[in-house]
Amino acid sequence: MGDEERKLGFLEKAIRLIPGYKGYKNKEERRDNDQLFRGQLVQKLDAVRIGLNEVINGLRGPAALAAAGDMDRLVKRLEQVTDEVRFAERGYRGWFDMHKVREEELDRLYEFDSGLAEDVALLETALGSLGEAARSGEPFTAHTGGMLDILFKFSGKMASRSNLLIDLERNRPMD
Amino acid sequence: MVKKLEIIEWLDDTGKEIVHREPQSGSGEFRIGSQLVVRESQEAVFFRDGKAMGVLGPGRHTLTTQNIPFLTELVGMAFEGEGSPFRAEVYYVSKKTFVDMKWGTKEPIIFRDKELAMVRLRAFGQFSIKVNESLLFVNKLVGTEGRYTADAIEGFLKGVIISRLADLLGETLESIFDLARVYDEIGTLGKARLADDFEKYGIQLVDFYINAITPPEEVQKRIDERSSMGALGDMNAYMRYKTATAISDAAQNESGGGGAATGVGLGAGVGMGATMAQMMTQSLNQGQPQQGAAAAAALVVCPSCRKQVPPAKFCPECGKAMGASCPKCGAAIANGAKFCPECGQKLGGQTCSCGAEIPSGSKFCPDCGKKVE
Repeated sequence: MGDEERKLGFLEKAIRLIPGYKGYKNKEERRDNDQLFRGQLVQKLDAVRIGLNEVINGLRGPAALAAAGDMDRLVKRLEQVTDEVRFAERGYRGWFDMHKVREEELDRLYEFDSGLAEDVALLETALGSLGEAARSGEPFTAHTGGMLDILFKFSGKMASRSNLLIDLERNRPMD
Repeated sequence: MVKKLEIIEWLDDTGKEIVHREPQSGSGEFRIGSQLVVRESQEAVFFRDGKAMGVLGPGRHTLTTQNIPFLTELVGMAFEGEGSPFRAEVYYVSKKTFVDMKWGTKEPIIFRDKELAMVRLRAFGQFSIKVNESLLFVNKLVGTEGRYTADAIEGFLKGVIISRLADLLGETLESIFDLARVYDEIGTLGKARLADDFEKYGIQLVDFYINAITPPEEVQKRIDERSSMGALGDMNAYMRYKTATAISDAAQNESGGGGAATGVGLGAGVGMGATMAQMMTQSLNQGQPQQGAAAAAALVVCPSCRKQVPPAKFCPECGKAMGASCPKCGAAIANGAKFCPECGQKLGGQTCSCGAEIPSGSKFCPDCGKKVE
């Protein structure tokens, strides 16, 4: 993530010599990097949604009607989680805010988002099992339940994400 | 004329625009270093020299074009006032969800119902969409238009919805009477079924709701009548209800204004009344002969008062003992029986001096009261 990993153009190097600009740019690049990574996660979650639609489309007649309720709930929850990732906070506080966001906090945010990839992988595996169960005509309520559990945990994690930006120890009120 | 270094941004005041081209008309000639600002709810597709170079997400982007100061002016001179040949345009795509789009059937859908045979159904509802793949959407649907609104695509999407829904209803539903409990399910299946149709244009169907699926008015009326019939219990009650309604209607008609219309109303009322009466008689007659025969079979003649009474030990009319009992097994015996229905004992055979037949087991003649020897 450091400057030494990539080559900067002349203008980019020059502009970083302006006092205060380098810190601003470093933070901005971390935020952009995190946003790009989350964009990849969103793409994967979208692929899971399309996969779920495929499962629904594969069902016919009474079986389709019977499964529709569970599948609807699953798709809606997945859409909610996808939006939570897509529109997650970038990590910004104003100039004179007491709880500042430094490069360390932004790095923690990126690490947190990297961890989400494991949950997405779990969802992809669960979707595979669900698809197989649906194709073979087995009841798949257990599979949809399993996927919902993963999504609920995912949402729980996302809710705690903004806590990473608050370092109460370091940002104690001054006397 | 090559434009100066500029800041390119787009804010939608109408709330209806899905795609907005910058500049809205003519070719764009943005200079190198122009700043493109993209909002969080937007994406920008950057075209340079007619080629889609990429999709730019939220943020500020410094555009790289070949419109370099001085050089562009120099090259542009060769094109006699047509400006720079280095064209650059930006298509802003709104990524927000366009809600409250409505769909509905212009023509009814023919549906084969298990109970009502062929029914024409009308349906309507709401849906919402958002652009999922900006590049795909711009290239497949927008082309080079300067402005593309949700209204422009709504008609096409409605057509797709109706066509898929007709298919889905035929596959999943057996009777429209089941509709009330499967609205949500049909909505879910419809959304999944429509997803492919929408996504091939880079659109995501975010929500799909069915507000109502209704048969035509005349079928609804028949359904209501059937429900009333069910509530009333049986056919006779229904016919009486219908007759009463018809008579009441006819009475109201009669008291209306005079002239030919009254005559027609009265005539129709009388005719209808006659028809109803006939129908009622028929319906009543259907039950009456059977009931009459059953009742006649159930009655017996009292040996004392000679009246037809229900079978009992004592006559409800005169209070005297009815019938007799078998002398062998004691079972009750109907009047005039020749054998006991229980043990087969031959009965009767005794006749009084007055000529009346004396039932078996009787001590006195039921006619003259003379003691049986």
